[in-house]
Amino acid sequence: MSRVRSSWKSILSAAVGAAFLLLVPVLPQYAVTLATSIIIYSIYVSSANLLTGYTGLVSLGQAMFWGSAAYSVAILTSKAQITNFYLVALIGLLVVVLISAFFGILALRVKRLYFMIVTFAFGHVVWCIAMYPMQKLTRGYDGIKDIARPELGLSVSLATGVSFYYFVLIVAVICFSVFFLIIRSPFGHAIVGIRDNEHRMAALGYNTLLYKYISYILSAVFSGVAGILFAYFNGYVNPSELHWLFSGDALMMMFIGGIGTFWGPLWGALAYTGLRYWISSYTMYWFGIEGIIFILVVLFFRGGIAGFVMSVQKRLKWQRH
Amino acid sequence: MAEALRVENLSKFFGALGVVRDLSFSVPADQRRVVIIGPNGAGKTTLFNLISGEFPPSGGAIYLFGTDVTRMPCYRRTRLGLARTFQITDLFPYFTLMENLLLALQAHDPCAYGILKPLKSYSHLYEKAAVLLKEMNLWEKRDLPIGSLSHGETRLVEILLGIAASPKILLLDEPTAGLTHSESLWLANIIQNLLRDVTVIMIEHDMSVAFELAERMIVLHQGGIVADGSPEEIRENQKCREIYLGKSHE
Amino acid sequence: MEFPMIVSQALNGIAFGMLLFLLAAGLSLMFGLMGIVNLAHGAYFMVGGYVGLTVLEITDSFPLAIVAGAAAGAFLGFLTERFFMRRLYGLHGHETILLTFALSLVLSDLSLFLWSGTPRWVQPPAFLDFSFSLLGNPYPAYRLAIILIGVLIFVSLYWFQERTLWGAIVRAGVDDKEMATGLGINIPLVFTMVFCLGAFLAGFGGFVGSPILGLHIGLDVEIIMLALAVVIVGGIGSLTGCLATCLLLGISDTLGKVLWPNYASLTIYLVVVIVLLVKPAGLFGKEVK
Repeated sequence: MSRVRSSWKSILSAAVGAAFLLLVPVLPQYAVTLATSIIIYSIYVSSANLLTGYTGLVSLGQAMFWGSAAYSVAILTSKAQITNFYLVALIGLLVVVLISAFFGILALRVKRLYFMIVTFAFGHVVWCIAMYPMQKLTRGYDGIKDIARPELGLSVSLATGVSFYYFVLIVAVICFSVFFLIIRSPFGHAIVGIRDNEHRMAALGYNTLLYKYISYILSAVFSGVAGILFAYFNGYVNPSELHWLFSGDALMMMFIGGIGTFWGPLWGALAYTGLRYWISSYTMYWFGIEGIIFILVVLFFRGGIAGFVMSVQKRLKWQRH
Repeated sequence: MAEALRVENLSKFFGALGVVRDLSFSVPADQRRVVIIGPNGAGKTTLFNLISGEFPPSGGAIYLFGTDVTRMPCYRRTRLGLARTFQITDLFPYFTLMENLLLALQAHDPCAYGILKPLKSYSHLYEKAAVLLKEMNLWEKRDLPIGSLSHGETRLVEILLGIAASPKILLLDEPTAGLTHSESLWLANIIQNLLRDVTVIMIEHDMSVAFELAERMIVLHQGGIVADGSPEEIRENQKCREIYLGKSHE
Repeated sequence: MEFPMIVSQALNGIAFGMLLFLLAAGLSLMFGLMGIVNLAHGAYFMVGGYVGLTVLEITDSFPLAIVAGAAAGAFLGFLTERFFMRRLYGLHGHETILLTFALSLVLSDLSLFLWSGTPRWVQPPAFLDFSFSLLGNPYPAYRLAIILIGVLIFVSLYWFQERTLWGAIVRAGVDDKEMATGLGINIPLVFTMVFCLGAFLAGFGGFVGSPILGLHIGLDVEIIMLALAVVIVGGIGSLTGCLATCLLLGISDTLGKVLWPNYASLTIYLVVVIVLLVKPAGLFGKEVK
């Protein structure tokens, strides 16, 4: 009985994996673009999921890291004319580590709701800074255009949609593998403990603040990875990448996909991006509809897509007995 | 040092309410069973909270094995060998029994911050957990969610979490809370056998358990120590009888 | 900038602060009583303004439009409380925030659908549609009227809070919900009333403020961000503190937009960050649970 169940699950996973891997070259351009953006967003949402779903810290400041990394790429490639991808990526991630290390110490002084509000306020301040005081560097509202695809030093060019898609897919597989290791490690076990009962964790001898801090920086780094990919993918970076609305998007995608689950972020990115693309072609009122979808999810489908899938599995299990 | 715990002029005020007032006592490291009793509101749990570091005292000092821990955060006191359990069961609701225990075991292990290797690869933690669970006859239930255990079993898990890291001094806050009389005696027996080499300081309301386990009793009343001695001395003590007037005791 | 300019800008700031107060008072009360940060509050403000505008166009009666706007706000508040908030009491604070945010998205797009995105301006009522001379410069009388209205509302709310039974009940609820319930107070009813009152004031403010702020899509987000800053910086639990912070932020924002336009939002939110880190309860706030 369980052999049958686990085998249809693994067949399904293999099919989905194969689709991601093999189907893409035959799809039209817009579908390749869509698929690439979904995978980039799934890394972004996964990083937010690490902080929110697994450590229990609800943050409205993830866009700050995505945007800073994206802007680093944009500024380094188009203004400083640095073409070495590895150097650019390294600097971008370094920027993110520095920002998160600094803000983390401050933000983690406050708890729960206040943490959420302070990350929101930080993020807004950073957006304001990018918009005006740093306008010479960031070109403010207009943003930075013409970011060229990276040269990897291999014989493959990333200029085409399909080749860049595979590049993004490889990076995503690496990121998700690291997420997987983190979740299954003692550290991952501890942060979930902190999420569920921080008080007991402290009594057991855990330095909960340090765990949260590390989690904050890790989540920032992966948001940064996603932001770097995005800058190259989109070729254009503007302040909306730093805006709190985009931080909110991460939470929305997380909820829709299933907060605190491993594949939730991918489901969420898939559903959200797909729905937005499809619905936007019919109506301009995407935000209102997004709002309705989110309300329905929070009120009726609290486990998101992943939760729904798990409940279906449970129900099938009952029916077979 | 020869003292496991020393409390000097400890006091705690919540606003104008003095819950612990100018308390002083010490517990030698070789003492095994200290039971703190007292009517409700005497300040017993507040005393425990001060010792374990839930909040800072309004005045006075606390020493663990000679180290001044008065301003030390909770988790650092644990490093010195302190552990505590809670009156209201405070476990990890979404974890299985085994996962709960692993959390307690990995806390002081070098692998506590390990990120890349899976938890499952640290077999020494699983072995320690197996020893504890088998001794308590909970081995079969190790993969059950904590919510499916009975109340008595969860009180036992509370204690397991406390002793998992091999503490030298353990604060048990009403370990038999919510248990029937026979369950309480069963738990008392387990405590007696399990914690042979640990200095246990216990808050108890169940007098039969208290008198059964104690080698020393401290009676708290309105934030201060009213009596401190062997169970026999406490039994004979007139003041204690007055405090407990109307309450039956063995 | 010469002195007369400063004075008129400061007055503008005070008028704006009064409008903020209409929003922040309700927001602050909701947070204090229910622990809810209602991000849809800005949408009540905007929709109230639009509804009032429509009624004004149909009936040509400013007073009727005010009533309509306020009623629209109250109605939206009632709907929000009955159908959404009821289901979420006892759940995480962040979920209510996200839910109210989603609601504001829905209301915003609904407004876009009903009233289109072009900015609209409302004429002040005829008897207030003049300017008088203030230190040599013309100053619109309507703005002074707003300041007056704001003061009136503050006094009424203060009286209500301090001197009436209902006010005492609400204050009790803010201080200690469990105790209040234990005393037999119908807390859910109080919640609904507070919600509706806050939304009523928001809708009222949206229309009454429309001759000054105009009506455009995005107004809800702009205004809620400032109201949120007020509630955070000023803290909850003190009506006077709320008013003081509103005036402070109103003047800062107005002067800021004139003197250093691109730094206004940055400065205000930098202050928010500092307050959150140094004194999370806010400048005038009482201890938050």
